[in-house]
Amino acid sequence: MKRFIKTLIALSLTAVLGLCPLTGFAASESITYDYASSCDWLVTVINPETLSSTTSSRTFVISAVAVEGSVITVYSLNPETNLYEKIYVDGVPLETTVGASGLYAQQITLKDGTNNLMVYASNGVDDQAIRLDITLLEETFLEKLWFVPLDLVNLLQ
Amino acid sequence: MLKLRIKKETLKTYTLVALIISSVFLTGKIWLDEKLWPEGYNFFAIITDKFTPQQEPVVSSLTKETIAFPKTLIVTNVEKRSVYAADSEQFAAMLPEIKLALRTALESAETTPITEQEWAVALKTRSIHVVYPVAYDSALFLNILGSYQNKPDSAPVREFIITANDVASNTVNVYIRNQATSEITKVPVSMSKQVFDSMVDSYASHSIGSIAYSSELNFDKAATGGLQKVIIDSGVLIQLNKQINNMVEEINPIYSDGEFNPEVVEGVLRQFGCNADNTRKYTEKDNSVLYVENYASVKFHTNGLIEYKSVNNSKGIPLGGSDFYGGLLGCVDFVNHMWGEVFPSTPLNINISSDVIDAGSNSFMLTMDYFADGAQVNISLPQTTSHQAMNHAVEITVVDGKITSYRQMMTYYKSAEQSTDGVSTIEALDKLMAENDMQGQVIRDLYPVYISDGSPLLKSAWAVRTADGKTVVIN
Repeated sequence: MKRFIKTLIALSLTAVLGLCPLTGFAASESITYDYASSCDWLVTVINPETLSSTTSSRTFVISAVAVEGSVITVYSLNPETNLYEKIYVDGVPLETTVGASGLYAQQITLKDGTNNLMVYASNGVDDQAIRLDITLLEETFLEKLWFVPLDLVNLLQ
Repeated sequence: MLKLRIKKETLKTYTLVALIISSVFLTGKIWLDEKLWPEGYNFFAIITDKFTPQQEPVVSSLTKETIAFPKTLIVTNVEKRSVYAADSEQFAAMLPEIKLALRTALESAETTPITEQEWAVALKTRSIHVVYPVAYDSALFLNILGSYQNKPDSAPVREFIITANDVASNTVNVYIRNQATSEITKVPVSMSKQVFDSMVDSYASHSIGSIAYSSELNFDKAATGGLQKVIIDSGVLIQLNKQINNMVEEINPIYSDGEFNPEVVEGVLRQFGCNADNTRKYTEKDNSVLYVENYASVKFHTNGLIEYKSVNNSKGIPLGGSDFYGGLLGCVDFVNHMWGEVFPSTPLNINISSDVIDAGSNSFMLTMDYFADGAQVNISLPQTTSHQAMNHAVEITVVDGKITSYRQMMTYYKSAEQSTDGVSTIEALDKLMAENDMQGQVIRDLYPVYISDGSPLLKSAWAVRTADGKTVVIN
């Protein structure tokens, strides 16, 4: 009986330890609005260039450079719960492990108005959360801009 | 009776007038080079076709015109973007207008210098980004495009952007990047607004989010924090999603079932001025066959490689041209003519792969590479005891206007009707960086290629060209 219990404990420990790295990397389904990062060196978001930005394009690509091996997850703020919730596209979360190049790019579809997003990076020990507010401008106005001389478009941007 | 006669005369007059109008209309159609019927119906032509034996045309992509074919045309329209390679109908439809715009821009003296930032903005507005496989000397490029204007200030050019100017004018702006200095100039060029709008509206069809320019992702400048390991030039396209890639099959048309195709061997020897009957022939241990005559030798390898070498520089094959341009066109004609003679019914899908820069001399080296399914084929044939390594489809050495060395992999490609799962550009870069020390490197180009390494089925892969001129294939 003792031997059986020992085996059971050993097996349980192996299973728990084996799963540890996976559970450590998997980001939680939601993050509180005021969540504080444990570090500021895991990821640098490079598109958008500022934490608050506007765009005319419904299809937006968030890009970043990050530490190899870190997992980057994109969240969207649910104003009803005041929680950042993991974004799923076709049942798959927007979660990517950064490779040796350190480059990261994720396409998202913006809703009308302001999109409160969070880019969350974690290496299993430390984590970093970056909040982004991206406002989708009305297309009717900006779509007309294409015929304006490029220099003027450049100035406006 | 009189009434009937008058009616008959009136009828005749109307018929005559109708016939005159019809003949004037149809003559006009012929003069204006239009089809007589919308569907192109021509009774006589159809009858003639039925009784005339059909002849297979010699198909070739390599002509004076096609050596100025862009590698890709990237059409952007607000949230839509599409990339076209030379084998697509859309590419062929857009090319005449684009070449005309580029020619006019290169001829123009009305140039304004612009910044890298303006170039990046032009890429993401309504635009057509024209990318050539290699850099061309602009003066030479003008000649290839059919202009005889001599411009003293020649520069290497490879990338252009055509954007709309403004709503009122029938002009577009052509942005030209100097490949050596990275300086960019803007030139206004007249082009019908309707023509430009039609191309952009019709041909930009995919979501912009899946194929983004490096500048749209800010991968073209160093990020703060020191995490960025590699910089990617602004005009390089980043494919964000995985794609399914077609595989192609490599055909060796000169050696099969343990023997060389005698017709091909004779045809190739003829091109080098040799005759199979009175040229000394040696078969080597690896089954390669060497033909030797007084001033040259031609060697056929079982893997499809053929090698010509003249005994000295004065005994090469004369190309006819007295300068670099003449020599270049002579080489193009030589490759084209040989293929047409040896494989008359097989298209030659090839383009120049070494920069076309006039060194002011008629001694130069030129390389060419095959294309399959819109992507360049990277030949990687290692050195053996019988031949040197071969990394191109064709390698030509010209000395004083004569071909002194000529090497060609005699292969062609057809669809294997199989496909493989591809990787996104970032996944490919991850692999590249994991296997190579690329820290601080600048990537100038990132493009799909097929790898020819001796296996009959070729898979697609990504190739990277760095700022120091190296090309690395990510397998």
